[in-house]
Amino acid sequence: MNNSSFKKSDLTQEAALEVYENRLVGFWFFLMTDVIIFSLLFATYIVMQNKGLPHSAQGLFDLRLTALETFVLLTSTLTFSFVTVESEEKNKRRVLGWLSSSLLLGLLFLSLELYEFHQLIQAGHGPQESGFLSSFFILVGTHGLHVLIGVLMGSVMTYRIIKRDLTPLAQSQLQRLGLYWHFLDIIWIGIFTVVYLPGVL
Amino acid sequence: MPRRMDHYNVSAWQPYLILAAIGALVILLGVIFLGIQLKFSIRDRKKRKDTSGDPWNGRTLEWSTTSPPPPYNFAILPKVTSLDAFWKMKLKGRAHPHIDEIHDISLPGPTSMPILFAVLVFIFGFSMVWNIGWLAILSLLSGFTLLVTHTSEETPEQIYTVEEIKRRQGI
Repeated sequence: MNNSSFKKSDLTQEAALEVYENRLVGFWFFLMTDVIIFSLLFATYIVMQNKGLPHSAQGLFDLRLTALETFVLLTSTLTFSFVTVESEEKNKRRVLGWLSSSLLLGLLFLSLELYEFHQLIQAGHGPQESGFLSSFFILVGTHGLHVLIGVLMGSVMTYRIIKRDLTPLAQSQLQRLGLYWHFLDIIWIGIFTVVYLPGVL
Repeated sequence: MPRRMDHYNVSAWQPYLILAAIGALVILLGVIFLGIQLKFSIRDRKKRKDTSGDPWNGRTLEWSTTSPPPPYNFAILPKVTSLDAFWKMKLKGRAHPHIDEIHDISLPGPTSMPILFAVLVFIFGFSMVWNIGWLAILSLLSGFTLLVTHTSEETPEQIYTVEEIKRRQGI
């Protein structure tokens, strides 16, 4: 019943490449499901906009903090594109350099976001206070959780590249992690357009 | 007229009852034919066995493969340009894959990681909804650990070699 189960090290170069190609396609499918999740969260947020008063987005957010968060995240995406380029060149040291920069920026983003959440909760605008705030925290919180997982997986990848060198498997995984990171950036742009900007306009 | 009578004396019913009796004989004939059909089908079952997967000269693609289909679905991916794709293939004489067109097919190896991961994510979502702090953290950590271990090395692929595919196709 169990036919020829080979380990990928037994595959030829081109067969392995085909497998990684398939993995990439599969990862796009996963990202689509992630889009569905965020669409639902966005829809919930928008529906909850003027309900759950007395809280609304008016005057709630400090746009300077949002701008800083945006700058940090977008820069991390930039550094991650360099990871992709250097990975194709099989430049192990440069990959590690750009990868750690991206991860550090991601960590910085998370700290800023945690600070923002802390401020909101201290001011009495926690997720338990109203439906609107609840939907805010879930939308932005889920994005933050995604970033955290990205940072953690990136750290694991960094460790593996140091330990085992930049194998074709590592390159394939970095490619997918890059897609994930860019995806989170796009979601963030959606967030500050839908959540933060309307509160000020 | 109720169904069970030990006698009847309404002569107006008689023509209809005769018609009904003839109808019953027709049905009996049908049952006899069924019996004959069964007898001959069972007697000749080995001779009449279909091995092509397409006993009725089907027009659509589900008849181009076995039932159940092989794990890789199609040995050669069919190119579909019309509704009755299989019929079109037959008209062109390309109903079955040519030997030289078959390559090795690789599929992801069997692993239980996806379903386990999905269950853990579900548990995480559930515990977040109901504010079960310890379960949220536990499921998140377990999920992450699963993710790390699953990606740590090459997961085996299943390779269906050309010989294997030929054997399944009966070439």
